[in-house]
Amino acid sequence: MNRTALLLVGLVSAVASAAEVGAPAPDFTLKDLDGKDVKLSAFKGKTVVLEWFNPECPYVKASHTKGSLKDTAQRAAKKGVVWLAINSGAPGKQGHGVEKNRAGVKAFGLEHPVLLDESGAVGKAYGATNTPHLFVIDPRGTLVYRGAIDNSPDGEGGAAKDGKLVNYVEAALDDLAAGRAVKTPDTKAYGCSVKYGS
Amino acid sequence: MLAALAASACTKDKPPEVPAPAVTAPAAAKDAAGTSREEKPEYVVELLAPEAAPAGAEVAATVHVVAGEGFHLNAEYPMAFTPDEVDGLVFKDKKIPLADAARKTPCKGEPKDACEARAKVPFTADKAAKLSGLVAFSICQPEKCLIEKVKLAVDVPVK
Repeated sequence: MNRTALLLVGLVSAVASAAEVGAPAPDFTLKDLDGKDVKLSAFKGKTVVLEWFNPECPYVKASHTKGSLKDTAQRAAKKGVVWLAINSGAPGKQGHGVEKNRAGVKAFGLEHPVLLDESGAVGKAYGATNTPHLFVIDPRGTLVYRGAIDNSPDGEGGAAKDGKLVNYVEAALDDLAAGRAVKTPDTKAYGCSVKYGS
Repeated sequence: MLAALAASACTKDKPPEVPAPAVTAPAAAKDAAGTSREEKPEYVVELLAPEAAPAGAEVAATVHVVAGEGFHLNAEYPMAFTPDEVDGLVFKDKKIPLADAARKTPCKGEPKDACEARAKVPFTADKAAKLSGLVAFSICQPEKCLIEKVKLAVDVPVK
């Protein structure tokens, strides 16, 4: 097999590994900002939200301070939902590092863990392309939503398409809580690109 | 300056070496008639006044954004111009989305990305007045993204 063919095989393999709605969410273990291991499958039986995160991305800042991410995780936590932020930024990229993420936690008043994925392996396994990029996993471990936090791509909630702001994640969580299928399971994420190393 | 920047804005071959941006406090809009501009290493944004027209005639100002070297426009961001309320100027909407109307120029070597956008802002002028407002846009490079809100102002002449 020549080098080009090997590269193509590698590319197909990477795409095929992206998480799909309706399929089991890929398990992972990542360290939080205190160095403690957090394993996704440990939360089986609970609804989990994964939020791709970059504390210095202006879309993340806007959404956490003015837009649809403001206090959303806290509201979800009160209903028993586990919320995990994941930073897949590589060293040297915007928003990378424990201290910058601690500063983000403080600035946004986050009460949930931020997990570090410097290699980008988990981000790529989920097909995370943007910050913020949201994934909702049901108690059985099935991915039931992936996409944007809402339909307002300015991050502030001030540019909702059709004039009505829709928080897709809260809607998905409401559907799950009511025992319904998630009405809108897949949307296009917006925001900064995930600052992968390669 | 703008033409030179536009010509070089889309090159992605070189790794971006952009100085740390001082973007949190947009500079005050220039007060010159005709064109109002803000230039930074990351972008150039301009508001161009229309030619003088009879009072009450529909005219259009132009918003022009050029990404700096290594940056491109974030196509997903709802680029918009929000005019200030000014006596004598009438806009159809309080906030004018520019993304759909904008003519976007692909980046050199990166046809999926746009490095330059130009859009019209139609309005009518009952009398000479100063058109001012906020241009909101987003630019990105592989290392970082920025959301910018720049205040610009131009004199609108009336015949």
